[in-house]
Amino acid sequence: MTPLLSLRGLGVRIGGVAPVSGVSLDVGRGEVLGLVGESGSGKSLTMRAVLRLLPPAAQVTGQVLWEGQDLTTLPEGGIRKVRGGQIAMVFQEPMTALNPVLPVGLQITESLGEHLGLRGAAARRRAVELLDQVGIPDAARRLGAYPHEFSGGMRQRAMIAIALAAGPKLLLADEPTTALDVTIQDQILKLLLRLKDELDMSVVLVTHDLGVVAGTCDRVAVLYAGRVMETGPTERLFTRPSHAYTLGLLHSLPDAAQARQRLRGIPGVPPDPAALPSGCRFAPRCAYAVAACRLEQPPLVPVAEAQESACLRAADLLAAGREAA
Amino acid sequence: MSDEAVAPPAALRPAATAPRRKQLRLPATGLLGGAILLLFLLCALAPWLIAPYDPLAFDYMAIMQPPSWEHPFGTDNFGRDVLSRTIWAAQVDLQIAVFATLFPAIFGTLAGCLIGYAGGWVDALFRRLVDVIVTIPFVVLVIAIVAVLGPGLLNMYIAISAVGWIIYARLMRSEIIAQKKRDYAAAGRVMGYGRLRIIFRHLLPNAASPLLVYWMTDMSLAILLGSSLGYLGLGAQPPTAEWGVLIADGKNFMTTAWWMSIFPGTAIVLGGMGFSLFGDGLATWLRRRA
Amino acid sequence: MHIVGILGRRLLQIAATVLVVAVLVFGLMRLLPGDAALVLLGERASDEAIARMRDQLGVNQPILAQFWDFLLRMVTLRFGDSVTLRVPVSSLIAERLPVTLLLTGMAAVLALLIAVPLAFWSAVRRGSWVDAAIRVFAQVSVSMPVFYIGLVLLITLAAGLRWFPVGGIGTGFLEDLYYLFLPALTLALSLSAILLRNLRESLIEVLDAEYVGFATAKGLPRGLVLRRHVLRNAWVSTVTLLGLHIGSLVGGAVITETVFAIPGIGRLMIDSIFSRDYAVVQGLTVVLAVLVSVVFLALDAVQAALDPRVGT
Repeated sequence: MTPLLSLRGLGVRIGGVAPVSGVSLDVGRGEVLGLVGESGSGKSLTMRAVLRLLPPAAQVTGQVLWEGQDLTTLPEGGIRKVRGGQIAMVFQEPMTALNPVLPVGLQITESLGEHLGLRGAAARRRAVELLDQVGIPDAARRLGAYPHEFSGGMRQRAMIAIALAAGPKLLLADEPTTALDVTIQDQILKLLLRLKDELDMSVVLVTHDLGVVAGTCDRVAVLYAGRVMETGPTERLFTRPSHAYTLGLLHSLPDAAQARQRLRGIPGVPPDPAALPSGCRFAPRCAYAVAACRLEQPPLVPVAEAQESACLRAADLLAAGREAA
Repeated sequence: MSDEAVAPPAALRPAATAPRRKQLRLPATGLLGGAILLLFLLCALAPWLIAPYDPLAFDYMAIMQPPSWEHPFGTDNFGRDVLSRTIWAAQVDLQIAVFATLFPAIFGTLAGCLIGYAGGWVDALFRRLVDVIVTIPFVVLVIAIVAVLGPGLLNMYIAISAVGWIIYARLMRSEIIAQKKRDYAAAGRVMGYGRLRIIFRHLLPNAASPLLVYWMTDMSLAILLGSSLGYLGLGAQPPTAEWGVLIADGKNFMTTAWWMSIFPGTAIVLGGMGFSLFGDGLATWLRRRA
Repeated sequence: MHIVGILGRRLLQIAATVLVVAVLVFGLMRLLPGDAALVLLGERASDEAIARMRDQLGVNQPILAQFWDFLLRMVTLRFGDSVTLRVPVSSLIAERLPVTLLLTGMAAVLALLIAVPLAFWSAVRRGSWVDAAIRVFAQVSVSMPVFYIGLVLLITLAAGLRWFPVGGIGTGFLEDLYYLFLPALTLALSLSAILLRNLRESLIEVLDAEYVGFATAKGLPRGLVLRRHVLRNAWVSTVTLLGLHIGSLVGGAVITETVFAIPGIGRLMIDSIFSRDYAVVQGLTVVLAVLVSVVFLALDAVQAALDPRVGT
C-alpha cells in the first residue's frame, strides 16, 4: 500500500543557504510519526514546505507526494483544497497562531464554509461539536469568545478544533505542547492520540523532546542540520540506535532508571546552515567520527528491519548496543 | 568521551564571515543620507568656496532671471543669485537642526532617565504632563512661545527646546523602565551600586541607540519646523538667507518666478531626507550589530 | 457597569487635562510683552482711555481674581470679546471652527485613502519595485514641510493648470468642498507620509504573524486571509497611529490655513497671537484641547470596537 504522505528528496533553499536538503520520509495511514531534532534542524521548515507555507523567497526542491500526487507542482487552487481539507497543521504557540481580534467560533466556521460548504446555523452547530470533541467545556457559549479569554491549554485545544474542522486525513503538529505547562502537555498529547483514533487520521508530531516521542509515536525520524539521520520504530530507536546523533540525544535524556548517572549533553552546537561541514553534518560534534565521516555525506541506508541510518558507524553502534544489552 | 566542543574545520570559516562583514556596513540608503549630509556640511562650513555669487549682492540688471548657465537656480526680485542664497542658507538650517535639538536631547535624556528610574509619583506627574502636552499641537505651542518671546532664531530655539525635551524624556523613560525589568539592573542593585551609577553606567548605554536614532529623525523634523517658522516670519529674519525665508520671499512671485521658492524647497526636502535616511540606516546598522 | 465607569473616568481625565491647559494658557498669555490696551487703542491714545480699557479688560485686578474669573468664563463658554475684531470670541470660534473641522476631516479621510492602500500594496509586494517606489514617495513627502507641499500644489494645480482656486473659501457646502480640496490634499500628503511608513511596518508584522500563516494553513483563499485576518488587524494599528498624529494634523492645519488664506481657527490663532488678542487665543486653545481630547476618546472607542483585547 502506498504511504499517505511521502517526501522524496525534499529541500528548501532560502537566499543561498539550504536549511533543509534531501529529506525523504513516509507517513503511513493511521500512523503517528515523530519528527525529532534540535531547534534549527529544519523540522518546522519541512512541515511548512509540505503545505507550501514558506515565504516566496524560499525555493523548494524534490517531491511531496500526497496519495501519489505531487503537491509542489499543484496549482494554487489545488493546494488550497489540500490545506485544512486533507492535511491540517497545528502550530506551536496558540497565543500567536489564533487571530486575536476574531472570535474563536468564526475561526472554525470560516474553515467549515471553505471546505465543507457549511454556513450559518449548520456551521455553528458543527463548531460546537468540534469544541466539545476537543474537550472545551460549555462549548456553545464559547463560540463568541476571543482567544485571549481562553487559558493556554484551552487555546491549544481550540487551535486543534480549528485545524480539524474540515476532517483532514493528516495532522501536522508543530511542537504543539512546547509552549504549555508540563501537566497540560500530557493532556494535549492524550487528546491528539484520542482524536487520531476517533477521526481515523495520521499524525506527524514535530518535537525536540524525545520524552514526548516515547509515549506517543509509532515511528521516529531524527533530523539534524536539515537532513534525516535515522528513522525507525520508536521502540527500536530507543533501544538500538544506529546513528551516533540519536545515541547522543538519548544520552542527554534524563532517565528514571539510571537516575544517578550523569546527564551528558552533546558538545558543541549545530552548524550554521550557511557554513555546513563537508561530509556528515554531525561529524564535527561526533565522538565516534572517523576520517571517512568528514569526506562524504553518508546516504540513508537500511540497517535493520524498518530501520534506516545515515551513519558510517551504524554497524559498530548496533553491535555495541547488543553487547551492552 | 571528551566534553570539549569540536571546532569546525578552519577552511570553512571565511565563507561564514563574508556575509557578516557585509551586514556590518551601513545600508546603501544610510550611505546616501550620509552623503547628502556631507554635501550640506560642506556648504555650511565654506559657502564662499562653493557659492558662485555674493548671496546679498543686488544686481538690478538681472532681476528674476529664470535658471540659466550663469544662474543655475535663477535670480530673485533683487537680482540675487538663488543658488548662492540656497548654499549660504545651509549654514543657518544645519545650525537649526543642531541647536534646536541639542538641549532637548541632552536634558530630555537626563530627565527621562531620572523619571524612569524614580517611578512613583514623579512618573505619574510626568505622565500627566504628557497628557496635557499632546492635546496642544507642537507647532501651535512653539508658535505661541515664540510670539511671547518675539520672533528670531534664538527665541525659536528656546521655544522648541521648552517643548521638545518631553519627547526625548518620554522615549528614555520607557527605555529605562524596560531595561530596569531586565536582570542586570537587579544584579547591579544586589551588588550595592549607587542609583546614579546604575543609571549612567548600566541603563543609559543600553538605551542609547534608539535615542541616537530618534535624534537623527528629530534633526530632520527641526529643519522642517525651523523653515516653517522662517516662512511664517517667526524664525530666522530677513535678510538672513534661510530656506523657509527664501520660500516666503518667493511666494508672491510663484506664478512668474517659481524658481525662487522651488529650489530652496528642494534643499529642505534633501536636508530632511539626509537626516532621516542616515537615521534609518543607523537604526538598521545598530540592530544588525546587536 | 464598566463601560459607563470607563467613560466617566475618561471624561474626568479630559476635564483635568483641559483645566491644566487653561492654566498654562492663562500663564503664558500674562507673560506676553506688550500692553493689550495699548495695542487695541494705538500708540496715540490718551492715558485715561488706556486706563479705562485696562479696567474693561480686567488686567488691573489681582492675578488670582483674574484667573478665577477666567475659569468661570471658560466653563460657561463666555470667552469674552476679541479686542481686535470686536466680536464675541465664542461667535468668532463658532464661525471659524466648521471650516477647520471640514478641512481636517477631509484631510484625515484623504490621508487614509492614500496611506492604507499604498501601505497594503507595499507590504504585500515587499521587496518589489512597487514597494521601492512607494517607500521613496513616503520618504520624500515626509521630508517636505506642509507649507512647501501647499505652495507646490498651488503653483502647479491652482496657478498653473487652474484646476482649483488659489485660496480662500467658497459659499455653500459643495463649493467649500471644492475650495478646500487642495488644502486638504496638502495636509493629507504630509500626514499620509507619516502614516504610510509606520503602517507598512505594522502591516508587515501582521503579514508575518503566525495567525496569518495558520489562516493560510486552514486553506482559506488569499483574498479572504488578507481581508479578514490582515486588514482587520491593520485597522487597529491605523487607528492607533491616527491618534498619535492628531497633533501634527491640527498643527499642519494651522500652517495650511495660512498658506491658502482659509478663514479657519488655525489662521485665527496665528493672527491672534500676532495681534496679542488674549481672549481669542485663550478661547481657541481651550476649545482645541477639548476637541483633541474628544477625538482621542472617539479613537479609543473605535479601537475598543476593533480589538477585543482593549478595554476588558
